[in-house]
Amino acid sequence: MAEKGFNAFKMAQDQFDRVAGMLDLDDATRQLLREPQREYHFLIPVKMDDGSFKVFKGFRMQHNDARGPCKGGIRFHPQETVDTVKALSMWMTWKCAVADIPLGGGKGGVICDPHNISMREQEAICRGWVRQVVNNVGPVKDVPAPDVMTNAQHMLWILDEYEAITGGKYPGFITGKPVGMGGSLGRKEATGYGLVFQLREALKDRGIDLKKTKASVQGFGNVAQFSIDLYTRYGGKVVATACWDQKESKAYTFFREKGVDLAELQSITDRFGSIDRDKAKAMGYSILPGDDWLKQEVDILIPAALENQVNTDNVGLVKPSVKIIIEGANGPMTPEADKALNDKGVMVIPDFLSNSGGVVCSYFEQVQSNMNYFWTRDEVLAKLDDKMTKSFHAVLDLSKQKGVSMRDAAYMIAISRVAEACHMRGWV
Amino acid sequence: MTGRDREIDEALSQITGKSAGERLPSAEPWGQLCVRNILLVSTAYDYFLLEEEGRLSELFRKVYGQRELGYVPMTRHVASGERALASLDGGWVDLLVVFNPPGDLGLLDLARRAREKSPRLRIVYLANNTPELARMAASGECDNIDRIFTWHGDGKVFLAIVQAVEDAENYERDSTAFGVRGILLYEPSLSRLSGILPSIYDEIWEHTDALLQGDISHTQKMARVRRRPKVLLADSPDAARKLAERHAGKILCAVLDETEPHNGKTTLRDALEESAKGLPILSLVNSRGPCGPPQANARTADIDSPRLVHDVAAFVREALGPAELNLVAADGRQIARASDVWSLERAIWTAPKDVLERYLRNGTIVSWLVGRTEFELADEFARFSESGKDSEAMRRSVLEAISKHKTQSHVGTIANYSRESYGPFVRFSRLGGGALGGKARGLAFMDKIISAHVTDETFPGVRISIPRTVVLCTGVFEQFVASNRLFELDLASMPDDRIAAAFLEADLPITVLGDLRSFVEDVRTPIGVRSSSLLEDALFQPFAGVYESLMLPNSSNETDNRFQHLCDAVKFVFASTYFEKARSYIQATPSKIGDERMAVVIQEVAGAKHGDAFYPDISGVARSYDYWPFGSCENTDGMANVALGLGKTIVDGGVSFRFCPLHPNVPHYGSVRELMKQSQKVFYGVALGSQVGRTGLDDAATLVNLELEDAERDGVVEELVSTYDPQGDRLYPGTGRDGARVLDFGPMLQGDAFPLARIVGLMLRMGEVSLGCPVEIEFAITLDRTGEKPHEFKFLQVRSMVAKSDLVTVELGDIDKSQTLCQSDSVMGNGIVDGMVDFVYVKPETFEMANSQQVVPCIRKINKTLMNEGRPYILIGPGRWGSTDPWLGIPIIWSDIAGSKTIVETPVDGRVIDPSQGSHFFQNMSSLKLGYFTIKPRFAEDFDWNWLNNLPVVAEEGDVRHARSPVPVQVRIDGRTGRGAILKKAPGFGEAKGGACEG
Repeated sequence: MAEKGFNAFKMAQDQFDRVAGMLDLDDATRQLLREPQREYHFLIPVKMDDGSFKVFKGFRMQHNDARGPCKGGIRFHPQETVDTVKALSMWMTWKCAVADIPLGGGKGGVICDPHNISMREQEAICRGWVRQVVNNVGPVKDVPAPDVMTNAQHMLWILDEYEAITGGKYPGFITGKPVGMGGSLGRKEATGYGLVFQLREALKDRGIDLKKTKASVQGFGNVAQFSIDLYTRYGGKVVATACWDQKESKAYTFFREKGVDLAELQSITDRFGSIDRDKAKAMGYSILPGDDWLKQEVDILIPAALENQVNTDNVGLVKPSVKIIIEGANGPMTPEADKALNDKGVMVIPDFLSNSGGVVCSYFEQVQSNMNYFWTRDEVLAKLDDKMTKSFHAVLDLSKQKGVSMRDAAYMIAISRVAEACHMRGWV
Repeated sequence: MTGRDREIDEALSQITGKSAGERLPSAEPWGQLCVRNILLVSTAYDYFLLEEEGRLSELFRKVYGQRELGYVPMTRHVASGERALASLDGGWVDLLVVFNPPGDLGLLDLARRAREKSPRLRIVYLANNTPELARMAASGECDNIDRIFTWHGDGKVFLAIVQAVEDAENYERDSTAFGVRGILLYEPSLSRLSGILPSIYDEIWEHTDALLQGDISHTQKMARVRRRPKVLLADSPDAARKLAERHAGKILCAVLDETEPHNGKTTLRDALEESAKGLPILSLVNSRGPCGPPQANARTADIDSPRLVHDVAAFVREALGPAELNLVAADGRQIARASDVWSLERAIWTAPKDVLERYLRNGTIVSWLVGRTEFELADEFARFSESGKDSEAMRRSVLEAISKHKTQSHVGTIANYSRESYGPFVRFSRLGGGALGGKARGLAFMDKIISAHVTDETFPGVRISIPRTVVLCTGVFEQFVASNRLFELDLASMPDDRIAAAFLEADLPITVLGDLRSFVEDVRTPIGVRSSSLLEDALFQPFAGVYESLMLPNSSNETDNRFQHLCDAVKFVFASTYFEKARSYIQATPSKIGDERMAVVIQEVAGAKHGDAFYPDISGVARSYDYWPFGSCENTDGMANVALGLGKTIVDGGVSFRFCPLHPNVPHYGSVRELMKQSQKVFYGVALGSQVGRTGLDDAATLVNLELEDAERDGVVEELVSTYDPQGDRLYPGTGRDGARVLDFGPMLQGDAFPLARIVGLMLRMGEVSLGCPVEIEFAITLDRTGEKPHEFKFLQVRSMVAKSDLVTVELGDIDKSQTLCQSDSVMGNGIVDGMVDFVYVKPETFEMANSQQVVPCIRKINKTLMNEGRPYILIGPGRWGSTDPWLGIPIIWSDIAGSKTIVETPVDGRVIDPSQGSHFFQNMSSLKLGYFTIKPRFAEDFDWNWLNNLPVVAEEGDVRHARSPVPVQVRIDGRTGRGAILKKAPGFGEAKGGACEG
């Protein structure tokens, strides 16, 4: 999971320390916030399909719950590490805080490779996971959600086990459920749409008419597709999107000057998310190398695929026409690349602000589930727009006021909100 | 002033005794020189140079086209002097540019003869920079030429020429009218001038473009472009001095050539510094020339420096001021930034006293406002700064000034909806792409007219405006239908409730949801959600009342509830595009249902809260042409129907009070008792506590029926009623005595409680002049009884009436009564309608008013059949067609009788039911040019029921009969006298067939 030599938790702590310094936080608060409040490490024994028993390692990190129940996904990955999960739980705290939703940060995981275990075995892991932490999670304590290699089915097993043990119905314990089973309308669109709501506001601030802009997108997954969808509905033009080719294990950029047609590309995408290159060519797309999405003469770049995609090696390829980079993926830019672009006057909207639409909608799902009353899609998306717009402007205002980057401003808001909650509770 | 403006101004003067003068929207380029047509005289090669190397067309498109200035200068090229002179015929040329003299005519001759032909023509000579040019200039060969520039291979000089010509012409007026600032430039070297000037314009446009960003309307953008700084070119030091003196205080900065030796005399710089203290001046000097190095403290640029153009540009940029205002505390701490008036307001709210005082007193904010072309606000700020007020008093004053400024800057404009800047001062904004639709367009237009001509002083104590309005444009409807695939439904035949259900289930476009929610969050009064379709303003198909409009109480404390109700209401109005009555209606017009697109007007309801109800004191509908004038009134004097409470009373044809705005004292009722009998007793208000369910989207759910006593208890009738004195059998305006209250608006129409008649008269006249035809308007009035605020006159709608403009004489006097089915002297319409054979009528022998609702389905059925067969028909029945009161007539909706071409109303129990001219029903009839007969009792006995009853019956159901005449009848109406007759046999008829209505 983690790159060799790279420690995500150390990076998260360094980020925190730097911003804590900018905020002049007291030592006790720093100590409290630079580590998870609670860590659960446990073993999950599972009887495998061949009759043997296997023991899986599971975790749940609760970084901070001063602002509300912890919120964060559960990841199944063979290279999962404690430090990664700790870092991710801390980032969840900041993400919830910057989006100004009343939740704290958590993250969980199991070291396993779902590709090599059956669905029944995965169900057993899910149920085993719940049995280990049942007393420490719940709708008012810690609310899990799908993450890497887990999906709505895993969440339903986890929910079912939790309800079986506790003897009640608690749809608010889990988010990411299917619509009709306690899920929220608008959830699948939320991250991509939320990103474009903020992009819209950023363009307004820069005095740029969205209808006259062009964008290039890296990725063709959920976030990328819904970003393209809403951005083009607003009148913008996406000229390139980079997509991973499963068969060749490499990415390609699909470019068309007159703009990509989302529905058209979706119609030639296979179940792994790879776009058929021959068909795309026939539709007038140029097939370029995977990195070429970055080299386009556009106003906006949307990296919405993987981490560390824009780095010192390729940041120089970004064209001077680019005015805004809005991060759809988690950590798509290295700090060095981020600084280089900020120095050039490019507005970089950081991941945990711009892709917070997902967690905002998860919060909506939790609220609806707890009420057992579900809103219309119009209502969900209008609220999402409201939340995303307000959180963006809070960060933008602070960034201007303090003369700092959007990333620093977002961290400052998030950390100061959490610190404030800890102070008000009298913890430190 | 245009002719239209003058006419409105005259009407205004007549009614109010005041003139609007030149309070016109500032973006209109009236009186301004716009160089639209340029005649270029040059060789083909020189033209190629300009077009290809100079990218002339591209430059014009960029500067004029992309900024949507309303025109792009067009260049016409001729290669000879004689052809140039010939081209001047017709006076279409604004600017003549000679690029090197043509071969056939010398420059001297060409310029002289061009000047003779067009004395006001602007002539510019663009030349290669040669010693010959200097000789020509010195020898007087350039006498008839306004200005000379030199060509350096960059087309920007051509652009600068055009702008300099415009600026020279327009500055005087713009400076006087708006306080536009000028940049003074004195540079005798033609070469340097031609190099510097384009760079100055580049800076001006860069600065101006920054002011055009954000959610401002097109009108506001145009106003800002017009207010951009202008360049004042001086030909000599003396001219520069004079310009500086003449426009003292309005010069932003000066760029002065000071390379000539001054020989001990006062330099131009000294002179300007003396006359305009603090004026930023850049001296262009020659450090190696006879003048020697410049003074130590003077800002200079060296003419020999390769950076000259850059230095001048930097100086101008600095003088234009920063895009953002940065407020910093004494210790260097940043307090706030402002990039527009909105953020300035926030900054002023939050700035500490000392910081605010410092920035106000040292003129930083004033200069920044000037840079933003907010001259009026800058002047006010400057006054406050010099007033000696303490800082808190200054803060209050400047905030008040900003608030007033924001209101004024939005009046009469259509801004894009912006949740950041939406507030009480934004009166009209649009959301989504596409068209505004007819209703919204009419409203936006009248807002513009009213704001240009009517001020708070026009009728002291009364504010005339439109309610705050947001329009969801037709693009939203198109997206909604397309993305939800609603066109796949069988919209041509599905019942209304199923269409509504399908539309309510669908999702509104994501692009408007957040804005709608923020609107609802901001607005807490009841809101009207009204249709505004594309076809709704087509002159002859008004679609009045065809589509749904809803009233939402908007009173829930939960934003979510209010938002959901609004979304549902919008979808319901969308759905009504395909409802049965719209489909029927459209069938009777040349349009098709597929042509229709729906915009939605979301509007604050005018009125005030009274307990659990919300209503205006008065609602009214007025028409500038009265089909049934009373007494001494003329048709063209117009008429108004007014009622207490919501306007639904009037548009549904309920009881209201009628008067003539020009003669409000002319009685329209035979006696006091008759007036009392026919006066309004009940009215509508919005029920604030009512719940809007998704299945109950109709007015009944949200409206409440109130009685006059309720209004008296709410304290709103004093100015509206008179009191009956039974002893004297007369009415006394007001509630000063005991007795029955009669809603006759006496205190306003006979007394001076409120200038109702004068305002309505003015609005009608303004509407008529603006639209160029008779108009119908809707309005609502809310009186202020606290004395703290002005009374509010809200203008709700304007639409054109179809007038009797093409009158056809029809002589009725000689018609033999035995030849007619009926005659009347109360007929609306004009002309002759031939060829109809079908009659649909309510049988008088069996019909009773108690059964008026039961005949509706029968008529609907026959109407549908006849419409499908394409047979227009004559509809005859008792009382008022389309009345909501079943005792006054058949309570039918328009679409159920849309196929009729002539309507006849017969008396009920010997009395005539007055038609309500304010109703949607009436509007539809008049606009579709129907013949509309009201049979008064004295004509009733001549009605030939026998003939009608003996016609062959096509269908009969209950009290309704459909009969067909073997020969076509003729309908004859004299529009001037309002007389008409239906002849049983058209003179010289041919074979019976369905007739075409004369239109």
